[in-house]
Amino acid sequence: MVKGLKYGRDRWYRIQEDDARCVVCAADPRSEPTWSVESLLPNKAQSADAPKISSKQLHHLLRLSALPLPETPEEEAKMLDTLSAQLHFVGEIQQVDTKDVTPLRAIRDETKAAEKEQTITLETLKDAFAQEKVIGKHHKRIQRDTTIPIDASDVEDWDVLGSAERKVGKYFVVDSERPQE
Amino acid sequence: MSRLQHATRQLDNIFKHASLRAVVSTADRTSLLSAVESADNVSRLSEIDCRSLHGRIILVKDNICTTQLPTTAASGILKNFTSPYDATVVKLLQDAGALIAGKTNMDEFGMGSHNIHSYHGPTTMGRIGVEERSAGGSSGGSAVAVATDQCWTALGTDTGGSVRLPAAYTGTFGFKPSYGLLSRWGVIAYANSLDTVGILGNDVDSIEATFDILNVYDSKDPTSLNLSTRSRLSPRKISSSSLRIGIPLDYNISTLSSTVREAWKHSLQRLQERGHSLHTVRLPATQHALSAYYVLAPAEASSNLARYDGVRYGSRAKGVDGTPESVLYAKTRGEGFGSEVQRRILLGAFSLSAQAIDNYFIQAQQVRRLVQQDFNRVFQTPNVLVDGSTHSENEGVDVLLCPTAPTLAPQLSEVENQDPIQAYMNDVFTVPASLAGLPAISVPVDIAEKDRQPKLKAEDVRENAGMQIIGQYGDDKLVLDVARELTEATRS
Repeated sequence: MVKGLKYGRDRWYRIQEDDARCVVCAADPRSEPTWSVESLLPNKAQSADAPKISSKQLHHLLRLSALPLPETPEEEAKMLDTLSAQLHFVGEIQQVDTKDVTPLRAIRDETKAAEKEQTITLETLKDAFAQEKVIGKHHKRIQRDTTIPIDASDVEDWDVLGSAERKVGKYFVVDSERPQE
Repeated sequence: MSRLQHATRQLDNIFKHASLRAVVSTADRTSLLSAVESADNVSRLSEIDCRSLHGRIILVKDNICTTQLPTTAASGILKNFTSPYDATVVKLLQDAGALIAGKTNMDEFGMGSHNIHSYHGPTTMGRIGVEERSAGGSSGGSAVAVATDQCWTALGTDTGGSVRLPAAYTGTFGFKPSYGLLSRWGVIAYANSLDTVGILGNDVDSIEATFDILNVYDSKDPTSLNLSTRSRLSPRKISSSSLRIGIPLDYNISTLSSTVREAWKHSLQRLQERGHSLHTVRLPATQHALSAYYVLAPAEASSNLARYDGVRYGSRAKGVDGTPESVLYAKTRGEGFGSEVQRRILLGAFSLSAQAIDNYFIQAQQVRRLVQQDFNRVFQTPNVLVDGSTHSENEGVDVLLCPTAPTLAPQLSEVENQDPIQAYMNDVFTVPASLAGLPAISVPVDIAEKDRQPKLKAEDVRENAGMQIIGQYGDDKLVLDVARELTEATRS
């Protein structure tokens, strides 16, 4: 179906006028699908190359996650199976060539212009510096000018214990048998 | 019809459809109605502005904080939690005169594709008596509430498709704006680099009116897009009569159901008949997007969910918190979190562990960049977030059109005993736009006459497939406009 189309640069196609009838062939049920999602699922034959997680590693990961350890060998086997299937599923990305690709860590303005705008300079801090004074003669240090009023009511009025289920006086309660390390 | 009449009917529907479990907590009916009545009186005095939110009934997903109603995120660990503050999006809606009538069911912390992983029990889609189908997840409650007229619009959240997938399954519109436009302050984090507040509704107009109120910078959210970048976004709507519409071939997968493929083809034909041009494009990184997503989202989740210890807030297991055999808080977390949440935390802990971080987490972030570059390569508009992404041939497309999900809503009984990974595959078409932070909407398009189920047809129930329109970053208004165009094209 894709035959009548011309390969364009940059890995995308452009449809020629003559192909008008063929224009939706990409979505035509007769056209060849491009790939299969099922290829991400582990099949019996492939299970050998799935990453092996040992019982010891599983327990370590559960501790890191602050989750309870399995209570029975069956439960542990099931956890290991699931994790190994998940790892097969996500391990597919390791086949991708990512040499010299900058990781995309967050969706934010990454332009040079934005970087410049967000750079903190003395000018940015001018107001903060204006609220400080230098004290001392031999040992000079800065101190906030306490005559300038600051509104911190939003944090000071916060009822820290308001949502806690267990508390004693003004303390949270955590009951641990674990010996101090 | 007055807003009071609409509100009364919608509040009646919340009660009437309680068995679908779309709504998990509701505000007081009498005070809601009296508030609507006074809004009605005010708007009758002036010209009634159909875009105004005054007196409109809105439902909010249960992972968005409200002071008036509990916020459980459908988790046992927050089953008794009420937030001491309102989320910014909730405050903005209330300031605009909208009424938050209740909170909607969801998959626990947003993790799931069928709304079956909920402390409150699953949300079901039942269009006729005996039907029990998946509502889609994780914003399944919001979608079913919109589909059964329990509200005007509903807020959801979309991390990897959680607004669009349920919209596709329930025949509603579900919009995920560009990442960073809507504030996440007061929205319980699942995977913070992907989480987006989204809007569900029965038409594009109501979604756009809600979006316009929420689309503002919020200094409380460090990921909120700042004013200077916002000013660089194009305020683009459909400008010419002929749009360039992209058909991503990589969304034509072997398991795409023939019904959905037909609806896709039909949508494309109708748009072409209206003078728009169609262009096939390749997005090769799509094939790796799903795997990358299931590395990144659980990794961020394992970090975000580390805060639930039952000490400062949330529910606590009875008895001793830590014993020499178990790590502190493990009992509370084991009892409070559901199985899917625990599975994803564990997977996330693995991808972030010293032995795996380079091969999994960093590699996934690199694949994420490839996905973004794929999109930049095909769109005509450059991506304002990165330098030098202008399309070299200047012949890119305006938007992409592809299915939202590979199939129509499956039976609930089919998915309840499914292997956890099977459910991950439903997100194959929604995850790429999430990774790149792009605006995307799912539009219900009627399926072919021959594909309709006789039982539903007999009862005159409309059956549709979700079609997804994806735009370049910041082209939210264009995406909404094209959704309107597609709706007109396929309904006429």
